[in-house]
Amino acid sequence: MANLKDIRKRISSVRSTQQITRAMKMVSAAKLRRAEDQVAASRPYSEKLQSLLANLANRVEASSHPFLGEGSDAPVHVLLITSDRGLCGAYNTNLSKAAEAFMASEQGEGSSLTICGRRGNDYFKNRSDRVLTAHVNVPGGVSLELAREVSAEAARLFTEGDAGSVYLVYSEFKSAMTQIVRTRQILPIDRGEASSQQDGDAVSAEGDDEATDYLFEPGAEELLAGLLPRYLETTVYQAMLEGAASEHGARMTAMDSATRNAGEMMDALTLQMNKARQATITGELMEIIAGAEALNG
Amino acid sequence: MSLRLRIVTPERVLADTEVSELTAPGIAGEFGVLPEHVTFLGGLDTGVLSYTDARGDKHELVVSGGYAEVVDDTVTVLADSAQPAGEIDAEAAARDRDQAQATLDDPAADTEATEAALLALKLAEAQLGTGS
Repeated sequence: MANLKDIRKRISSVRSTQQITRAMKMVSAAKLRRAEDQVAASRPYSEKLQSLLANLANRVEASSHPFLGEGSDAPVHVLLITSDRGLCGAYNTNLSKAAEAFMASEQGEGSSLTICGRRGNDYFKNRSDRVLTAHVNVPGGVSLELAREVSAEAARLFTEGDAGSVYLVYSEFKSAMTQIVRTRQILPIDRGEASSQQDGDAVSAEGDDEATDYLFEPGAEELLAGLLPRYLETTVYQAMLEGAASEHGARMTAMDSATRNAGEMMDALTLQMNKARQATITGELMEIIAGAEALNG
Repeated sequence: MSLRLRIVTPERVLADTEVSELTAPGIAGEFGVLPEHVTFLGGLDTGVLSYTDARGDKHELVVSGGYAEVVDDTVTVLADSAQPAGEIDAEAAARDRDQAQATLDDPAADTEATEAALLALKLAEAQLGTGS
């Protein structure tokens, strides 16, 4: 039986751990709310961009821009979005494993990798030599500038023929409890996807312009050439925002169960401590009684 | 008759309101939009976008790059970045302008730096041009 002093020490250490996990949970909840707002704030832009793109893409030939083509047989390039910080459950491990599995599959043969986030980089550092670039501990976290940089890099690989297609591995935010790992092709841009995902009012607008013709300034193809890279940026930016929201959600859930586990552990230890105390008292009593019996005898 | 105006950037929605007219910096020159405008899609340059709301108040924003779409009296502005006149720091803008001007005057600057400076200069001048 462990002695009383040791058990007391453990209880107080578990208690301070619990205070930390509880605080982290609270912080994550606040950050999650902000991340969710950011996701919501960026949605109108990407929806509108998508409907514009769908409108334009139907008017020009696929060959007019490399992003709309078929891609090539060159190896795929994978863009993995993870977080810089840990202590968020299996969030980063799930993403890294999904990327690893994808790269090991037939489709991902010979693929190269770009990583955003320190955790993903730590995972692949000793496992793979296919990491091209890693954006680690970027000051300010998720920003449009970072998304621009990352997507420009992917676009360059694609247009120069080093990558036949580009896939994005990120976490889709469903709720604080559920995050879904998604693997999605971002280059070449699938025209069908661009036109099928548009919102209701874009559909009606498109219905109208069968009759009314747009006045383009400059021409449709030049506009498209400007829109496509922006679409790519927005896709990456949104994936990063969703990733950030997922990270905070995952951390909140992880810290919640850590706090609960610490509570259970404290209960168990308190019980053990009480038992140990009673055992000592009983032991002492036995000695006294035994001593008294001996005198009487 | 009025127009519906929405100004969105990747980071936020800046305006969603009824307006009577609007002027925007197009790639091929500044253009105005009044109700019953022809269906239109155009690129935007860096400059000042101004509109008059339903109550007759005039608003100004600095936009840099993006697109404007006009369909059925609804104007959607997709700006790469946009800043309402009230949020502009005139001192910082003046500093940016001087700095960009210095780069432009510097014969040793390479093409890339010069191009960046030209853009910065345009933005700073647009910022200084609002509200005055």
